Amino acid sequence: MAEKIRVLRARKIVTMNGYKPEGTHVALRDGRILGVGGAEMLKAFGPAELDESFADKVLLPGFVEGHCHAKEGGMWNFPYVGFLPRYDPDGKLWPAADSMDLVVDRLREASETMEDPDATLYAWGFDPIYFDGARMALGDIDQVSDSRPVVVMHSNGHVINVNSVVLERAGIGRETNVHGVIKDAAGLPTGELAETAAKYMAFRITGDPFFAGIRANDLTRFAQSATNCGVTTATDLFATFSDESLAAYRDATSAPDYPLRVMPAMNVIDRPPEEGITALRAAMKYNTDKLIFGLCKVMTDGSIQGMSARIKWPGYHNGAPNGVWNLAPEQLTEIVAAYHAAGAHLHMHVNGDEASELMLDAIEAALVAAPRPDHRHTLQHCQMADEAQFRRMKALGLCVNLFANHIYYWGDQHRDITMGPDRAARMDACATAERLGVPFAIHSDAPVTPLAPLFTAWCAVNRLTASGQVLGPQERISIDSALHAITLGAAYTIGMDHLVGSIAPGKYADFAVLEEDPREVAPEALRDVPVWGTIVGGVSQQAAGRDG
Amino acid sequence: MPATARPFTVIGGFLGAGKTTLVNRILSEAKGVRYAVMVNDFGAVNVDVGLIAAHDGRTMALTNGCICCSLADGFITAMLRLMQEQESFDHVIVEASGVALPDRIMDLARLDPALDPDAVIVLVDAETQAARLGDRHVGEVVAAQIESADIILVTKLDLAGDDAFAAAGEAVRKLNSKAAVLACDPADFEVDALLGTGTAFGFEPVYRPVHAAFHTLTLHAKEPISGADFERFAAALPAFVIRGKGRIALVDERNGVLWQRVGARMEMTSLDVGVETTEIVLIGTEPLTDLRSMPEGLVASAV
Repeated sequence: MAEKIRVLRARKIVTMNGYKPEGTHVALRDGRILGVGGAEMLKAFGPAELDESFADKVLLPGFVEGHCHAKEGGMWNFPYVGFLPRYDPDGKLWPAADSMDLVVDRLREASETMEDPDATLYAWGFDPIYFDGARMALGDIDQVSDSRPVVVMHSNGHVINVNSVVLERAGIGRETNVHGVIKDAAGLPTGELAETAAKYMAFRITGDPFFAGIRANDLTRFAQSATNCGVTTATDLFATFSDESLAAYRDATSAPDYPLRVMPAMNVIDRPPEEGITALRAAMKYNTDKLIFGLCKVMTDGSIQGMSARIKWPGYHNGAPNGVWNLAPEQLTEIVAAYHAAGAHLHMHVNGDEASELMLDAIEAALVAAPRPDHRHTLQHCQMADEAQFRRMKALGLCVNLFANHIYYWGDQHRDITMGPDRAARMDACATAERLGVPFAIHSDAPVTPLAPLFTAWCAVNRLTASGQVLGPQERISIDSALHAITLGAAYTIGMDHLVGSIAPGKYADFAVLEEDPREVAPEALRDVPVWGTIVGGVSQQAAGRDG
Repeated sequence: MPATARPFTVIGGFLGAGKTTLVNRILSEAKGVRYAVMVNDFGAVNVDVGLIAAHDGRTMALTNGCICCSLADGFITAMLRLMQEQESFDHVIVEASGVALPDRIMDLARLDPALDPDAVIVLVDAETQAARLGDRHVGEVVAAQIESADIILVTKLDLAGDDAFAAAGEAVRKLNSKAAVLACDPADFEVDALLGTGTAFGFEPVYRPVHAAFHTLTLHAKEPISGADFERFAAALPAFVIRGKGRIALVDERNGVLWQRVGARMEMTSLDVGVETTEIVLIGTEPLTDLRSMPEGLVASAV
């Protein structure tokens, strides 16, 4: 026998569906939406129970984060020392560590709370790009502890700073002469280790907790972060398909009332396509309504602020050499062709415009070889694409997921250092995507930046940098467009728009529960709309109470 | 560096140059050396099925003592895991990806005292090298790979012909004037000679051709030799000497000295013990006759 019908009454329901944009009542059964509208929903489907819990709230479709990583949950095992303030999954606010002294204070406090005097202190989120050229030096990090190893991961995930304890045990000193061991003017290592070999040597001493595979607890904490910001469907957009990881996904998401639909995207560049396609199909057999395999991730280049993205002429504004490919372009092209032909859904990491061009070429060739309607392949980040590339996306049926948060987090640096004022103004070009008809989403890439779709929408609407300047006003979009991008728009890019992303009959009963209607606030206040929590499959959970 | 440090060799080069073929050759022709080979793609490793003792998805153990490790979880993770089991291998070989800079990988061994930097070996496809070097997407990385090599193997000669080999050699020389440049078929190669392992450097007083492509010369001296003379001799060795290794007794040194040459790069390190006599093995791609500036007392061992 079917479950009883429940009708939620809200102050307002913003449906994002075309035929009935607003309502006050939504009828649910079996974790799905029966209908949305006014008070008539109470009787429309037979006897129903009225739930007034959300009578003073505004319901939107649960937010969809099309590009983030479940490691967002795991990173909070370590203290955060980022330049900008950030909430952890428990709602604790980690204030800005916006000077080197504050970074050192934060690390020292963390060190003092650790019981084992020999245990390594790991921290994350540090980004020296904000410190006007100043780098962390041994003089800074050695104030934290002279007995325990200290390892600080930069927000880009590629560079670390370590203290003298680590350097000494690793045998890194004045005479060390390898790439990536950064030295000061006197020829002494500063503790900053930038390349694989240098990081390897540090992790030989301390172990490496950052790149361990995903654990069930990471996914639990990840879901907690998602609830806090209204997200009900999220990708884990770089998944290793090891037995341990697959077990962790299944364990975490099968817990009763796990409050998130998780879509891991298989990393496809670490094995031959034939093997990967078999692994993907095997994983998909176990798909549930909370764990959905099928997406694939293609890593092409690096990051713009790390100067490792592949950039077309005229290259980096500061003259840095061009970035790196993760695999040879022809291998990347072959991989795209193989997965496309096998029917997979590709998400291609392309930061620089040389990388987006390569993937446009690859998709075009793949489509010529194996025509396929409605493939939904998506260019991810795609920060540098120009109008010509957007026109090709449209012609090839590609979607794009733009990294709107970059405007705030690194917009000033892109204008001044990496891209220069003109190309920076057209980065993450949401308005161009909209004008040219390319289906688009916007994203956080958490843990790179915080998981918070309303903040991401605020970035796309206002394009304000951290210093408060507008970067490329013509690329700003409306609040309605930004809300579409974090709901139905994102759902479309991951092939879930028939199940999530709007409030309509037959779809999952997934909602973001807000205190205000985000369409009615001033654009600059969009990020401040309070989130009560979420409803996933009809089951509600409240966000963690937030500090301050 | 501890005496137990494991030699670390990086095999680089762009796609199609023959890296995997060479790796397959190394795994099949190990002759008692337990190589730990780090590969990007298990699927391409083509050892005899009968040689596979165990395969757990990340590591493949061979019956000849070699292991083959996947880089799928990332290079750092894979190397950290390997170094937990240092007793299980004698020599590390890394097959770099087609767009990797092999010299950056060699930095690992420059830092880790448990590893001994051996050689950066870069394979260059004679047929396609000109197109690769001119490619707008990868030209710079292909050039950087060649620049960083100690030993360059020019491959695909059967497809490319003599003129192409000459052209490839010239292109390679422009980028790297120091490396030993060899023409070779990576499927039919004397592994010991290329890697300086096993019997190639056994200090046995024998003179024998290691392989048609290689010539070996063993030198010895019964009395300590002059350090200055030896250094002059070593510096004057012809470019076709791709490897050399010697345990040398010097007139003014109490302890013996270990001398090593890879490509044109040479180093001398003091041994912890005194030695009475000198033994040197040279491996070259041309006959090792007519060596100049031979130190007094150093003579070729009997054929």
